[in-house]
Amino acid sequence: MNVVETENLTKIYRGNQPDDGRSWGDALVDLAKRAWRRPEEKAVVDGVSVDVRAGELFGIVGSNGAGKTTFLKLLSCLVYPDHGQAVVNGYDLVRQRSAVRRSVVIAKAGGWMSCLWQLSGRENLLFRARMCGLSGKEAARRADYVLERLELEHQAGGHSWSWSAGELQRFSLGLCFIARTPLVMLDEPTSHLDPHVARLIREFIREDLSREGGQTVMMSTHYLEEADQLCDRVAIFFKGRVLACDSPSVLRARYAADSIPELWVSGYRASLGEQIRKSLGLAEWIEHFEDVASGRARLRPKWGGHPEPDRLRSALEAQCVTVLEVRDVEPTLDDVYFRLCREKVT
Amino acid sequence: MSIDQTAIRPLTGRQQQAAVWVFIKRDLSLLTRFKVSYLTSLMGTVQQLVIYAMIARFGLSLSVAHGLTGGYVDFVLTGLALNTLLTAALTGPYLGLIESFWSNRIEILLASPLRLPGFVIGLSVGKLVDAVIQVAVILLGGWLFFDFVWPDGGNALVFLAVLIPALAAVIGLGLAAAGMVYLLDARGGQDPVQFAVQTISSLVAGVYFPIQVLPAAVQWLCYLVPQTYAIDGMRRALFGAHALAPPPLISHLPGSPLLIDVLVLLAYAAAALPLGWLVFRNGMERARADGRLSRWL
Repeated sequence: MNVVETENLTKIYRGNQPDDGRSWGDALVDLAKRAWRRPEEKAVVDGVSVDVRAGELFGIVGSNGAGKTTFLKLLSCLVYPDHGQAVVNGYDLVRQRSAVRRSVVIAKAGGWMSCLWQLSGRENLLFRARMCGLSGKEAARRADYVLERLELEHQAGGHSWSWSAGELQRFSLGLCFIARTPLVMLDEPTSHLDPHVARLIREFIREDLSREGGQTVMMSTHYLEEADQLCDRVAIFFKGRVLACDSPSVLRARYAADSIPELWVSGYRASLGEQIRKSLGLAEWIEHFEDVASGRARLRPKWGGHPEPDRLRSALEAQCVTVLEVRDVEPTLDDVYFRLCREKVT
Repeated sequence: MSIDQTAIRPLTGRQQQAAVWVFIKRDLSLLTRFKVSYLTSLMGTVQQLVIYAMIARFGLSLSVAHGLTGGYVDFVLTGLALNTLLTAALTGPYLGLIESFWSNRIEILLASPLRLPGFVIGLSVGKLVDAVIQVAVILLGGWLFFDFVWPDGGNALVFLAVLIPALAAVIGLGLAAAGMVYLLDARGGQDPVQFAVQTISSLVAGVYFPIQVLPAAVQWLCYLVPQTYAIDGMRRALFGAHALAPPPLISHLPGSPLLIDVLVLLAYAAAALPLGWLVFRNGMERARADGRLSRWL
């Protein structure tokens, strides 16, 4: 059974960002022009058709401005589509908006926008619970559970302006958990977090929301490794369109090479990277420095059309970089993403 | 814990009320949390009280000229108090919406089972509660320090009969003003509806001086805003038949001025409330359609 089905869902934003540097005269001229000139249009979500299955942990990956957040907002009726149709939890996105709103919950990126600054942590959880129609007793029970499970008891009486990024994000997740709606949408839930908090949040998403709670989770993320490990299926967004949508293993098998060369080098400097990449025609590669002083690093081309290891070796050696070892490693979702985006651009 | 089916059902009336109550608690928590700020803002109310009480002592003989039972103190302090209440009703929806927009919380508040009426009531009621506290400060301060005489012949039921349609009419205008946030992109702290109504009502609705002292050429403006009928009617309910001369046009109409005030307010409320709601809902729907609910476009 599908919890979300979208068909050709499209959102177009019209108008320009205001230019604060304009003079009053220019602003008035602009205003007059707008009376008869159509504003600029930009399709931020462009003909997206995806299905999300019940109980699934569905990842949305893509660069900044790819349309991930707007897509989630469309599904929670915070933004209305211009074209296309969708069904969310069995309700029509256009004709049954109230029902759609009741059946979904969304946590915005950064966490701080989910919490009301006037209220303490516990009060925020209770506020959300009461807005969802829970009794005072049930609201208190769920709030206490969230505070304990997300290690937030010490901030129950604190306010959002004094919380760390990790605490904000955990409260934001807790607010989603309180409502217990069939569909939970998380916008970049682990951005800007330290590894411990990021892991706690991933565990919470996987164990409490998805497995134990039986909720369907849609999460957007920039971290492809996270999507690879966490999500049952992933949709790759690029300029408002979906380039591919499937399980990470299927995407890797379909779009990435069997193996990718990884070079262990010494005498490498980050400043050499661009020069070498240009000479090889590579868009990007991943650099992992083991020791910056000696220039000991691991290098891995990001895109699927990898050059021969011998060409890589000679390009590096031409810049006085010593290649210590060449290994073949498994491709990741990063490789899929960069190949698809590169193909789209070229 | 598993999926809560009750979360998918529409909220009952009682659940909506409980949700509105948490909004009020949210707003009240500001008063108690930032005590110095709140006390300072109340000092602004005290300042107004003192200014007008001093003007009264200075020797305005309006009571003689217009037959007020008390003096100008009674006239102006009731005017101030009632205007404070009506202004909160007018500006509440707009200010609540603007605060939510600029603090970037509007989407989170709207992404909930709470319906739009519950949302806007929740945003506005806290402002009314705050206004009631200010009214208490004005009247108590006037009574304790400036010879304000509590009306003894007042009729509470009649007062409510004026107050309720008056609030409904003004809230209707307030909803229209809030609709302008998105319809006219009035996100900068002021909108044309609120500005026009507030300007007219503060100048010509009889808050600080009787309408009769205005030049005849501008007196007609007072009939446009519900505050004129509301303040006149409520003063009449508090001070009895000899409160003051009614607004000029009303004095020429047959029947009791109080009854005319109530009827006009009922008609105003019947028109302004649904119209204001339509404008507000239209503004919110337009924002969602344009994608401007929280975006700066």
